[in-house]
Amino acid sequence: MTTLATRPSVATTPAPTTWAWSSGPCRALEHTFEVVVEAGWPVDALAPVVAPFRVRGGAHAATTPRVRYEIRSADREGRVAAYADGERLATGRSTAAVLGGLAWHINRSVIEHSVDRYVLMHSASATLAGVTVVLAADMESGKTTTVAGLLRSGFDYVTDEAVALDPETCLVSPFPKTLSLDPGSWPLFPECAPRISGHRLQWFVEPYRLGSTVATAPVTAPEIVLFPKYVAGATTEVLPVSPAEATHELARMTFDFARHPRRNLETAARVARTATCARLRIGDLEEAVELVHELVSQRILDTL
Amino acid sequence: MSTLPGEVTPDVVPVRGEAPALEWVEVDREVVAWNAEREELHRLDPIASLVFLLCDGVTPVRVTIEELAASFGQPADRISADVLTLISGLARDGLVQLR
Repeated sequence: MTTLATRPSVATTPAPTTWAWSSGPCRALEHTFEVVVEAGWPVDALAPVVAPFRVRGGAHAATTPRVRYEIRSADREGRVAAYADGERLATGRSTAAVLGGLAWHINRSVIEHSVDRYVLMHSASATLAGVTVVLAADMESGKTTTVAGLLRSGFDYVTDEAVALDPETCLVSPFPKTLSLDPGSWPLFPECAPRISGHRLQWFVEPYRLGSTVATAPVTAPEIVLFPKYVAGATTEVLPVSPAEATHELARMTFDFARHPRRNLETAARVARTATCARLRIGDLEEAVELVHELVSQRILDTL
Repeated sequence: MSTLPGEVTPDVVPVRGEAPALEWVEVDREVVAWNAEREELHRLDPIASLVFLLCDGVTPVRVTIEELAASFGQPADRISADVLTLISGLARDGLVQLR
């Protein structure tokens, strides 16, 4: 069972009795939360981390936050901080450090609170013309870069972190966190450069900056499952894998697999049996995107 | 019929592990299995999968070898060492138990 790697809290100045800004209820899969901000903090900086999950309209009243995140302004030493239910998550002299801690906690909490409801696979996903593509891979394999390329080419965004499969239907519920682009991918997406300069470890990229829209309701069961791997200088190609190999890989990518092994194994097998499954070796992003479009076209043709 | 050193002989009766200690699925003639105690995933190739599926807790290895030999049109002596090695590996990985 995954537990949050929380850090010891420290004595702090009392929280203000009123907050300058509140996100209102937010929901990311089964994790619900609220973010409140002390006066003096640049609220706009929170948008990439919080905005995808703010609850709108009628669902507002039905969402009870599990966690309240507090963003505190600079203390006497000039350090800003983020807290989760009073426990310190991150502190630093830059907003970026605090945002990183907040994003980390939200992601971990989403996984922890959602693995009972969903089969969660460490994957990115996007959809085009009703065909859902899943990119399943370990960290640093090129998932986010590839899905960003797909979004720029017309796909709708589902997630760059965790594919949430309903174990009964295999429909995929969106977890549309803002994309986190590592420095190695920045030259491929110059249009996504932050509008405010400053040192960053990652770029937070909202899908609209890639010309994409976000899926707001469950999308179809995966029809294309790819295992991407960026290899510098390699020929970009699709290498089919057997359903059993795909099942093994999808099981390996499942968060907290041991918590529901029977369910998770059956779901991985069901997806692998019905989807087009292949390794995607990526030497060139645009060529990889073109290959994915061809796979989508083939799936559509197969259904006619 | 040849035998290999170790506990697997043609007279033992192998049996697949049972849930929840072992969970498995068969996908297109290949088995993917989860050993819960060791928290390990295994993917068996088609031959290993076939041998795994024949580990029913009733059939001695000797009979399994004879059946496989007949299926593949091979003399039992020619495949027995491979089958014993496969079952030994399955036992080592905790996917079958030997009786």
